[in-house]
Amino acid sequence: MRERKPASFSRRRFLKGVAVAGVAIGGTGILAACGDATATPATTNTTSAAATTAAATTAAPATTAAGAATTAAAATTASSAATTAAATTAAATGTGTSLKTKAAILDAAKKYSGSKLVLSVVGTSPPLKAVIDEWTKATGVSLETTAIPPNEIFEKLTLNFTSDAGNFDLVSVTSSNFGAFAPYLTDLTQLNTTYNFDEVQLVNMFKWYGKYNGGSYGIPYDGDQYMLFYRTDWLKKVGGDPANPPATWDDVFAIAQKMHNQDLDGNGTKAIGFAPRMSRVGTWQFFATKLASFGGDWFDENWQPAINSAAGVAALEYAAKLKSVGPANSVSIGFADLDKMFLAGQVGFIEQFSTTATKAQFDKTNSKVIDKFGVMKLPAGPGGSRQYSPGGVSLAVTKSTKQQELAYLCARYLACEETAVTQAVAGTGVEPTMVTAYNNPDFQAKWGDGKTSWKVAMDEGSGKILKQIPIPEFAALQEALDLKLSEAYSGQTKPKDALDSVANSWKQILDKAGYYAAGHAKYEVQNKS
Amino acid sequence: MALKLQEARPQEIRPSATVPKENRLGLTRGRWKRFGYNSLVYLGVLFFMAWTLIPLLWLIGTAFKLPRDYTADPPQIIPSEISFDGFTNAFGNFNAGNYLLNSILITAGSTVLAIVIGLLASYSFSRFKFRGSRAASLGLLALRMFPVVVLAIPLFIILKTLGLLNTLVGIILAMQLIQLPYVVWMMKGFFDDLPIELEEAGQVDGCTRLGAFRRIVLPLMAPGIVATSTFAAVLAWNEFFLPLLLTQTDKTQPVPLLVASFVDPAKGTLWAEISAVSVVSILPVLAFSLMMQRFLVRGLTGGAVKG
Amino acid sequence: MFKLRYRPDGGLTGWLFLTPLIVVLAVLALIPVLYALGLSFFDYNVLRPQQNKFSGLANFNAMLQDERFRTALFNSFRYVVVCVPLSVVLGVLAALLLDHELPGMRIFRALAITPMMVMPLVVGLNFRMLFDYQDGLINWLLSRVLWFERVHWLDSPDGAFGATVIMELWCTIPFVMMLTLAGLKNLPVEVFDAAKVDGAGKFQMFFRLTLPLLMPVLTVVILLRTLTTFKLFDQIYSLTEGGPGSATETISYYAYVLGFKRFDMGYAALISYVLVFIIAVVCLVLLKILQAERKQA
Repeated sequence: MRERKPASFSRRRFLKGVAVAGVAIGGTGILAACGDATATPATTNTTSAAATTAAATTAAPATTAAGAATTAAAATTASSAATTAAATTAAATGTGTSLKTKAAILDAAKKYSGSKLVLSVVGTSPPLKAVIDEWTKATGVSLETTAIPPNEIFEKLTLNFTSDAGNFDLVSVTSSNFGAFAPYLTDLTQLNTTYNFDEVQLVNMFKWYGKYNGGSYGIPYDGDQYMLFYRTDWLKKVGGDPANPPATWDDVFAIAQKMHNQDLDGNGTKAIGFAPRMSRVGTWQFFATKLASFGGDWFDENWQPAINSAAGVAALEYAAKLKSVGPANSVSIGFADLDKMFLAGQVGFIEQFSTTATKAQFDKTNSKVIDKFGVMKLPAGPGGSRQYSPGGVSLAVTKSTKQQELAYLCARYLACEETAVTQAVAGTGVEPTMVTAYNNPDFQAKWGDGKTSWKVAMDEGSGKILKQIPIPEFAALQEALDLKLSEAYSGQTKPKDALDSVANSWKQILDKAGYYAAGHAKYEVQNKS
Repeated sequence: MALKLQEARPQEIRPSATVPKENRLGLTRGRWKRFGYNSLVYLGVLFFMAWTLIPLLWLIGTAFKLPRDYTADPPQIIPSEISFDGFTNAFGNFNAGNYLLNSILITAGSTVLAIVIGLLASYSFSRFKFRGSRAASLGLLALRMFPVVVLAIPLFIILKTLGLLNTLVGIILAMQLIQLPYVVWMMKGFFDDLPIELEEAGQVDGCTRLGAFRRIVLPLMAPGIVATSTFAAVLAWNEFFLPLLLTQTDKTQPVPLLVASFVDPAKGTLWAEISAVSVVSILPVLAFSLMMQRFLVRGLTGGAVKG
Repeated sequence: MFKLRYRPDGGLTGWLFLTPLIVVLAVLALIPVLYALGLSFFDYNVLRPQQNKFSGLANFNAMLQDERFRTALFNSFRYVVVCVPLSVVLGVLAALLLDHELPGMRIFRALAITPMMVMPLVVGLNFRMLFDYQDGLINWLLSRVLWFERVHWLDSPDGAFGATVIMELWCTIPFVMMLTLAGLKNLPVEVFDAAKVDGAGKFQMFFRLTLPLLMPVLTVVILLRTLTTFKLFDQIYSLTEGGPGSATETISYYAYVLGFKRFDMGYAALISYVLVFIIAVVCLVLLKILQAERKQA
């Protein structure tokens, strides 16, 4: 260490080194950021400039440059000419292009070959890889998906939209969130007309998905319905008639009491009457099903909470009562547990999605109740046989996308009958939304006929339904409700007090949001007879 | 003050002060008494190990389970039927490899940045006495008192303004918030440990302050730097909330977000996939820290004990 | 801690070295901190940006009447009061055990710190499986191996609290153990040998000699643990989601709900600041107490 370097020289060298490192890091970062920004315009420019887009669609990318026909265009001119001709006439006449089959949709999207779409999906149920691959192969449009944790969809999408990040072309949105997101989504009414969405027969229960304030913002993709599953053999043993299952909640409770703690399988294990869904996150839906048939509603027409009305309190008292015929750890049971218990043959009644029927009937390794159960729509209560529609997932086109029509076509593809059947048969848990899907023979082969739920599925939405309220504050309202319900179930609070407390929280939330200001739109009361 | 150069070397076997003399290794007096005592010690350690390792073994076991074995009775730590479905599903359908890559990039980038900035800063706090240095370092400590939740939204807005939302650079910068207080605090401790005489000796020999820094201080600080960077890296690797808010697409989402997206109260949580991804993501951290274990223990208390 | 000092020319150079830190943190830390402080006085909701307005002490008033806030505060304190002493005591015990230089100890020491490597999120999920009433390993051990009754871990408010405490201990004992171990390694052997010669018993040695000498390390450990436990979030998020009811909802979790479910940022900022204030006060008090102990040593 006996060098004689001038002091300033080595200091400069050191600082230079740091500066270089800093610039290197910063530079790569900036390049990375820019790289992403430049990607989108570049890809849209490479689309084969073949057909003209329908006049109805806005913001179509550089494809409108109807330049010299490329070789790719030549191959598809036959079909695309037909579809685009129809499209342009559609703008004029309104008869619309038919996209009844998957092939038609794929054809319509071929003209966008070379583009890229980004789709946000619900974390646990992304579209099948096979489905995405088929799309890419047939249309030449690449589809990139981003998974969002199911519990975080509301937060992440809100942050995404409010920050104008513009990451997504398509988003998977749960029904109750349309109120919050509508300002950031494209109204699909026009596109629906162009592409004859009316011809698609949606299951009754799902028709309201995506509708908000007169506009239509989503294509129903995954429809959820609750049904009551019951053990037919146990019903017979306690004196019931499997062909005429209990029709009201009180009947169900009576039968559950008869079943509870009895050794109905003859193997020494005590039966459980009814397994409830009481774990905190999402338990409000378990309450909602009762609220519907007890004749309750969320608000009165002036947005005053009606949840603590006599009907509401009665509904909660009934739900809490189920604990007495439930398993010891009722308070922490979630969805997955319900399936597990029913398939293991431990429970007499559960309230679950229709997909449980498939598992119970066809999963030979896990199900012990094959041929021993029945499905019915949820029982009637003091308020009639009103069903609750839990909402599901819809695909929405964002406002920030530069490829509205393409995104729309992709949404139609993912929701169309063939795709829905493929996914249902593969057991992804995505429930089809179109009547034709339920009538599809492949679907029925997997889901069965009669014993299972698809007939019920058709039936349920035909009467009155209680919907969720798609206002922006819904997540907050639901969270407050979940909390107090959970407290009521675990005995920390009495049902009436719990609901009163919820009503208070709701009033505060809505007040802060300005719902009680003069001139605010009224609430469309749902329990009018 | 005596030079404690031995502190800088990896841990050698020193007799433990609290262990009675006759129980230390190598002594032959009172062999049976020692045997009884040692057995008790081993028993205690065994219990502690069981407590520590059983949950870990459960995690590893779940990664190889079939869904029906999640709730088998009796619970199986080692699954009766080994299945790699969790792994294939996570890395196939859910593209876990991409998330791992993001995590690696984010962790490496933010750790390097934190160490560079932290080295300079902690050296300054340690060596230079200037107005406000005490306040500044206390302020840094106070930063750690803030729950991430409250800082998240302003951070979100700042990054949005800078255009760094959903970029690796943005997340790396955000991580500094979490890493820097620890890094500066730890390394300041190490610097405090290093007697100033060494640098002064170097300067007498003709090095500049920075030359002394580079040639004398840094090599001696090596174990401390390693310990600090391991700690900082683990912090960045495990961070969930900041990426949750500040990343939006698969381009930048790290592993904790993937794990969170496997949790679905409605359709059923994918336990095997969660465990599979966790197991794979623990491996690098584990390997690295096991290697550095000697340095780690020595390094982490270098400053604290003297403080 | 500021023992070693250079000559005071360090003024400019000192600040020069600090520049990168200052630049980064000024932007990323100072601004958010001040911004959040300002937010507490606003009625700011991300969902309705057009309605944002200055609201003065309205948030503060709301907080005083908010029962959910009081519960959250109580829960946060409950965790600190239970977890910190337990983890410190057990961690020190573990360190004492592992301090022996016996064959295999080195491996055990390395294995003992592995819990720190696992993501808090995953720890919560893992323990959710383990604490399951019907199929969890813990209840199985309790009922089949030890012949106790199955405990309602996650179904009952108190059980959930217990479960979170156990989970927290699993995560934090390694940390305490690791630091204490290093501290033990630094104890002067000669003093202990001399004390033994003087006829001191084991307990005497521990309380009169070991503990006071460990005080510097323990001070750091206790402060760090208190700080972190007050801020607890990740594990609660994945283990109980604050439930059942509000039994495990801490201030951090409530702030998360307010900020990201209701997007009521102003109020969330306020209660977070309250938490910071509490942490600061508690830490200062602890520091005073611990310093006093050290003076005695």
